[in-house]
Amino acid sequence: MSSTTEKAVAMSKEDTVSKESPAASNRKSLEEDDEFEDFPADQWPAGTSLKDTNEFHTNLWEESWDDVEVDDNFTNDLRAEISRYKQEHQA
Amino acid sequence: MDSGEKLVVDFGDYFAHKYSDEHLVRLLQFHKADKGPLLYMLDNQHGDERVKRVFQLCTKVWELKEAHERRANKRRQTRVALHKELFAAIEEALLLLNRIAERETQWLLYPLFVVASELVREALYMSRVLKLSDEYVERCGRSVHRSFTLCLNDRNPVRGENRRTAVYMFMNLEFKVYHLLGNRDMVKNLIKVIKSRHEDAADPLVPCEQSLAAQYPAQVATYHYFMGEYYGCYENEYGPAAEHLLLALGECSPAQGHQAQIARILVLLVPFAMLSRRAYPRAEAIDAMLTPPEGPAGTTRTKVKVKRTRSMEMVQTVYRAAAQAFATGNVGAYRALIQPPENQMWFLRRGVYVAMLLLEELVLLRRVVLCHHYAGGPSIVPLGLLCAGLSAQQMDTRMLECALANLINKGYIRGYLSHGNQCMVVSKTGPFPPAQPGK
Repeated sequence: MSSTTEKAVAMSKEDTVSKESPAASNRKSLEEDDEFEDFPADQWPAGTSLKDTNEFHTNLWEESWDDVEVDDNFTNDLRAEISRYKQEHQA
Repeated sequence: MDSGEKLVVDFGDYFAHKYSDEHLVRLLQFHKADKGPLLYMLDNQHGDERVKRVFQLCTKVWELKEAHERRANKRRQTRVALHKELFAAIEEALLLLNRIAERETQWLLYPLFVVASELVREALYMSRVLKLSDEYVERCGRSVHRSFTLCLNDRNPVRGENRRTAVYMFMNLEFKVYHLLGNRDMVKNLIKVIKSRHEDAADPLVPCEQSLAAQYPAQVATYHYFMGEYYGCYENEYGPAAEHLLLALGECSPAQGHQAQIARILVLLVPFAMLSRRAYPRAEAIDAMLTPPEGPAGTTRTKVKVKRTRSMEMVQTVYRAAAQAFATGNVGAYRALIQPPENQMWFLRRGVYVAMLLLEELVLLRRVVLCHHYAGGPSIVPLGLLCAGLSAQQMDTRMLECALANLINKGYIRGYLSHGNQCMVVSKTGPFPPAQPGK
């Protein structure tokens, strides 16, 4: 490979590195867990599993589907949009 | 002598008196740094040639490992030669133990499983780290399958002796091997066999929780993880998938440093539960499960070392935002999460791509439910009203009509579209049927 080509390749590599977003470099620092990893041991002390805690049975899930009183900016905007539509079409 | 006070262990004694203990298991755990402080020997009077050979092979494996540790030269060529030798020795030991186990009862099952696990570990290393061909993984699969069948086909009527109790543990090893080979058909066949044995009216196979695996929570969790993956990623049956994955999650222990396993379970459980139960785990609950435990108060011990994985990151960022979009019916925000190519690639690799696409329908449904509610719950809903509610979501009336027709067709909405009147007519009683978690 000529030295010019080598320089070009090196420069393009530098470009890639410098253009890399912080999110992308953060991803690189994370371990890609392609396999379901073996547990460190087959057994552990009784009573330490998640199923042995109350939290797991009572506080794990957010089951908000039937709850229509959502209070956040996005839903408040929707509420306002709907009442605006209703006013326009009643007038 | 009490087993806890042993200094010298006679390998043949286990076979002569048909029992196993932690010392036998320790000798067979070849992946550990050493075989512990005990001396292992075999009484010269022991008559079974196969037991003698197994002992020789165990000794050989430990000698190979120790010799390799002492060597200064650890080039790839040397490492490959070592691991080929290790693989051959463990494979032969497993084949011999399989033959011995055919005439034995339950006492030998866990030691047999330990040797089979070591072979899988070795094959995984040769494939993933040394990048050798799949030949070793395939050979390993055949040997492990022999262990599996010698358990599955045991017809001994005495429950306390029958080897079928270990079926799930060997099944877990087979799952790992088939994943390594990327062979979905073999996974399906394996599950088909187990399902048929569950349905055997004359002599049904006991569930995992009543088998030998129940003594080892890691095995129960692994079994339910792979079953959940099969139902959710291969069969698109999200209800059973979520049930299995929740059982797998329940077995894990954050205090024991299982954060990597918990994250992998959540990667599948979160979208599958959202689809089947329309529920998602609370952010605080997820954070608590994924946070490594602190050392005891007042000590200088640091936290249990837990590697930060991509799955943890995705669960705590993308999934959290997806759950928020799901709760508020924010279609635009949801699309922004699933459209970036790097996210799509990750969903594909984890087997949740289809589930994430299907979830978009439920996000839209949530939006329709909220619009309907804020409009006072009319039975005739003008499409314009829904469009007003979706104006920021870049969805025009035509697109909306198609999407609504789809939701009605799938039974998410009880009603019909009146194209001429540009409205949707919904049932006065229960226009939005609740989720059916079994599906």
